[in-house]
Amino acid sequence: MFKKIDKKKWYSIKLFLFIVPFLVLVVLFSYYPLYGWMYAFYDYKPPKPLSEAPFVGVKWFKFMVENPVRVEQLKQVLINTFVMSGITLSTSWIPMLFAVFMNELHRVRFRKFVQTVTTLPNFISWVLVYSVAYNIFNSDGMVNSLLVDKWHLIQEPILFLQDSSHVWLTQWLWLTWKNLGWAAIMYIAAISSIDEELFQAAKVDGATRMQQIRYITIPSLLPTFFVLLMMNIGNFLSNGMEQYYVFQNAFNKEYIQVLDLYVYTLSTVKGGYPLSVAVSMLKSVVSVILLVVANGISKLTRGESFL
Amino acid sequence: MKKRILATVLATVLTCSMVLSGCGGGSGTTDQPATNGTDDAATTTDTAPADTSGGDAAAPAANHDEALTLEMYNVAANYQGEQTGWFGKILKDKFNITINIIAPQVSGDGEGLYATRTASGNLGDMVLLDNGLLQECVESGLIADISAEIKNYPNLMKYWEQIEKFNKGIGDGTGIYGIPTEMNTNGPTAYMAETVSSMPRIPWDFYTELGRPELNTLDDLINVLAEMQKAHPENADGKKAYGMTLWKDWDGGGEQVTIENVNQLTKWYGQEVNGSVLIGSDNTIMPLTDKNGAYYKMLKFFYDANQAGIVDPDSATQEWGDACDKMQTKRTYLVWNNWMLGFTNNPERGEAGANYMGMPIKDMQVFQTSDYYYGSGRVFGIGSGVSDDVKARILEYYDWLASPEGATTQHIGTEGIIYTVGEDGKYTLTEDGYNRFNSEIMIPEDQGGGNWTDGNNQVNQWIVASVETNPVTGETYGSDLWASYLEKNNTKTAKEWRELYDGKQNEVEYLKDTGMMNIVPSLNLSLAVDTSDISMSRGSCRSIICDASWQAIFAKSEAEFDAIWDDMVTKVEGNGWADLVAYDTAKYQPVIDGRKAAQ
Repeated sequence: MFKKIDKKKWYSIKLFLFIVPFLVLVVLFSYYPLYGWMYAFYDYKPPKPLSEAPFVGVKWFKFMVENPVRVEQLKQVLINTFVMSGITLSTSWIPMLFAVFMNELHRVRFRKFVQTVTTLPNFISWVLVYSVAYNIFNSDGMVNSLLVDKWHLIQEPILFLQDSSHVWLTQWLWLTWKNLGWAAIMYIAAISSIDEELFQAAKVDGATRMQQIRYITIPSLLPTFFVLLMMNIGNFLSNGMEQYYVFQNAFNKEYIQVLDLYVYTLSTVKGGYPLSVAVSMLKSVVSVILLVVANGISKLTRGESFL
Repeated sequence: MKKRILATVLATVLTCSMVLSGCGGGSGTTDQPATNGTDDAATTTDTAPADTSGGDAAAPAANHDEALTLEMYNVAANYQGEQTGWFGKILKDKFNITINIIAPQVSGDGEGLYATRTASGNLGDMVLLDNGLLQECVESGLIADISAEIKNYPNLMKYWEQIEKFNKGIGDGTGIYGIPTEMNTNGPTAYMAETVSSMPRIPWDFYTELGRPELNTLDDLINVLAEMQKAHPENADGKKAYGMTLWKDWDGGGEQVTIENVNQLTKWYGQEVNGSVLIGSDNTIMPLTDKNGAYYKMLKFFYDANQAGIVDPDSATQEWGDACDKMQTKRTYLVWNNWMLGFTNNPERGEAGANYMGMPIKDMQVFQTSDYYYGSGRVFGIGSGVSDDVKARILEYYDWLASPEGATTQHIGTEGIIYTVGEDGKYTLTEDGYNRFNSEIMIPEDQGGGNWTDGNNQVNQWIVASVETNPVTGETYGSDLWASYLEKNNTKTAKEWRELYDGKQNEVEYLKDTGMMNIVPSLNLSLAVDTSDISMSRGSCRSIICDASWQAIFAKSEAEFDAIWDDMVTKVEGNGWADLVAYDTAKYQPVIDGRKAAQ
C-alpha cells in the first residue's frame, strides 16, 4: 500500500522535476523583476539608496499625462512603436515565403550557401551593423564616394544616416536584412516535417511546383505561422532598443524612438528612473491587453486559442 | 520524428525568448554589480620595485610591496581602460600601481554608468568628479573623509587654503573630501596665459593669401572661411577640408543641456552657458532660450556657416577623435579653444607663416575667467570603500601629482625626451617636445614604449595648474610661458600677427587694451544639487535642446531654423523649463555675488 502510493508519487515528482528548471527561470527572470516596479512610487535618484528615497505615490504616473507636450511625446513614441511593430508583423510572412522558395532550390550547395549568408547577419551585434552602415553611408563612405567622386552623379554627398524621412522603412529594411534567414529556420524545419507522400500524390495528379506550394506547403506551414504570429503580438511593444539606439541621431529621433528606447533614455537620465519604471509598467499592461485580444480573435476565427 | 524536432525547436525558441525578455525587464531593475578593482586586483602580488617615494617632499612612504590596480571614475578622461605607456610605467615603477580609468565620456552613456555605479555603492577607488557630483556622493557616503591624513602630505598642503575653502561647502563642512583641480598660488584674479580660452582662430597663411580682410562681424568670418575652403578644398594629402568641423559626443555633459560646440562659442560674445542659463561677463544672467542671448546667436552662426557650405557634413555624427584628427591634418580652417592650437600649431609651421592665430572680430566681447586659483570645478576624491592601506597609496599618488616632479611630468613629460635642463636650470623643449601634440613621438622601449600621446597621462586633469610656478625652475609648469618657448615661438606668424594688430604682444593684450575683454574672477563653489524633479526636467530638456540644436544647424532655410527653435522652446516649456531656469538662476546667484565681491 505505502509502496504503491510512493511509486506513483515519485513518478509525478519526477515529472515535476523536469519542469523545475524552467519554472525557476520564469520566476527569476519574469516575476522577480516585478519587484522593481516599486521604484515607480518613490522619488528615487542615485546615488541615494531606495530606502532613503521619499514615497510619492502615483506622482510619476500623473507626471506622464499632466502636460500636453509630454503626452504628445508619449503619443509619438507609441505611434513609432505601433507602426514599426505593425510593419514587422504585417510582413512576418516574408520569412515563410523565403523558406518555401529556398526549399525549392535543388542545388544543395547553393541552397546551403544562401541559407548561411542570410542567417549570418543575425549573429552580428547591432553596434557592428551600425559601424558597417556608417562606413557605407557616411558623407565620404563607400556609396557617397562612388556617387560623387567616381561616377559624378551628384554634386553633394547624400547624408543617408541623418535623413529624417523614411525612417520606419529603412529601419524595417535593416531589421529584415538581419533577421530574415534566422526567422526562416523555423519554417525550414516545419517544411521538412511535411509528409513526402502528399507531394508525391500531388505530382501523380499532375500538380505543378507552384500548385504544390500553394496547396500543400503553405497550408502545412500556417499553424506554425500563426503560433509565431501570436507570440509576436505578445511582444508587440517590445521591439527592442539596440537597433534604434545605435541608429538614432538628432535628425531621426522623432520617428525612431520606440517605447523600449524611450524607457531606456528616461531611466539613464538622472532622476528619470521612477518615471521610466512607470512607463514600462504601462507597457506591460498594454502588452497583456494585446495578448488577450489576439487570443480572442484566434478563438473566433480559428476556433482554437493558444492561452 | 520530424514533428518532434519541430516541437523541440519551438520549445527551445519559446524558452529562449522568455529568458531573453526576462533579461530585458531585469536589466532595468537589477543593478549590474560593479567590478571592485581593489579586492580582486590587490591579491595579485608582484615583486615590488625599489621604493622611491614622492621625491621632492617628505610625504609618508607607503608600502609598495603589493601591486595595486586602482579604478578611477573620471569625468574628464577621453580614454577608458588601463593607463599604459610611458606614464603608466612611471606609476608602476614609482608606486607599483596601475590605474584603470572608467570614463563616462567614453562609455557612450555616462549618466547610466554613473547611476549604476553609485547605486552599487562603489563608484571607484579614486574619483574625479564635477563639484556637484562630489557633493551628492559625499551625502550618500561614497567618498572617504581624508581630513586626518591630508596634513601629512606637503605638496597637497601647499594648497590648503583652496582645499579647505572648497570643502567648507561640502557635506556638513567638517570633513575634507575633495581636492580641487588646476589650483595655483598666483592670486585669485590673475590671468597668466597668452591666449584666451575661446576665440576664432584661423590659419594665418590662408588668411594672408586672402589679403587679410578686416573682420567686423561673424558674417565676415564666414566669408573668409568660405574663401579659404574655395581656395583649398583639400588638405596636403588630398582629403576634403572644411571651413569648420563639429562633433557631438561632448554634448550635454554634467549640468549642461546644450551642445558643447555652441557653448564654446558663446564666450566670443560675453556669455558662458551654465545649465539652462547664460551668465554674462557683466554679471547678468538670462535664460538660454532668450533670442538676444549668445546661444541663439552662435547657433545661428553655425546655421549661416552651413548655408555657406563650410560646415563638415559629418559634424552631427562624428566624435571628438574624428574632429581632432581633422584639426591635426589641417582639414578644418576654424578652431576656437586655445588648447586646440596644440593640434594645429608648432614652431616649424609658425616659421612658415602657417600657424592658426586668434582673430579678434570687431564686435566681439570675450568672456574669460581668471586662472582657476580656487579650482576648476572638478575635484579628486577617494572612494569610501578603500582600506586604509590603499587610501595611503592613493594619497601618496595624489601628493606626487601636486609635487614639482609630478606636475612637470603631467604638464610636460619626461626629461630627455620632451625637455632638457639647461645650465641655468631652466627647461627647454626638445624638437619632439614641440611636436608632441601634432605628430607621433615614439618612446624607447625601456621607458614604456609606444607613442607619446597614447602613453600620456589619460587622467586629463591636474591638481596643479600649468600656470603655477615651478619652484625648481622659477618658471611655470606649462611650457607656453617658458623663456625658451617664447623665444622659439617668436616665429614669422607671430611677428606678422603683431604687426597687423598694432604691435600688441599677444591676443590677451590686444583684447584687454581694446576693451574687448574683461576678466571675470574665477570661483570654485559647490553649488546646489538637482532635486529629482529638476534633474528630470533637465534630462528631458537636454535631449530636446541638443536634438533641436543639431537640426537647426542643418536646417534648409531660415524659416525652418526659426520653426525648429520655436518648436524647441514650446517643447522645453512643456518639460518644466520655467522651473529649471528659476532653479538655475538661484543656483548660480552665489557665483554672481562672489564675482561681484571679488571685482
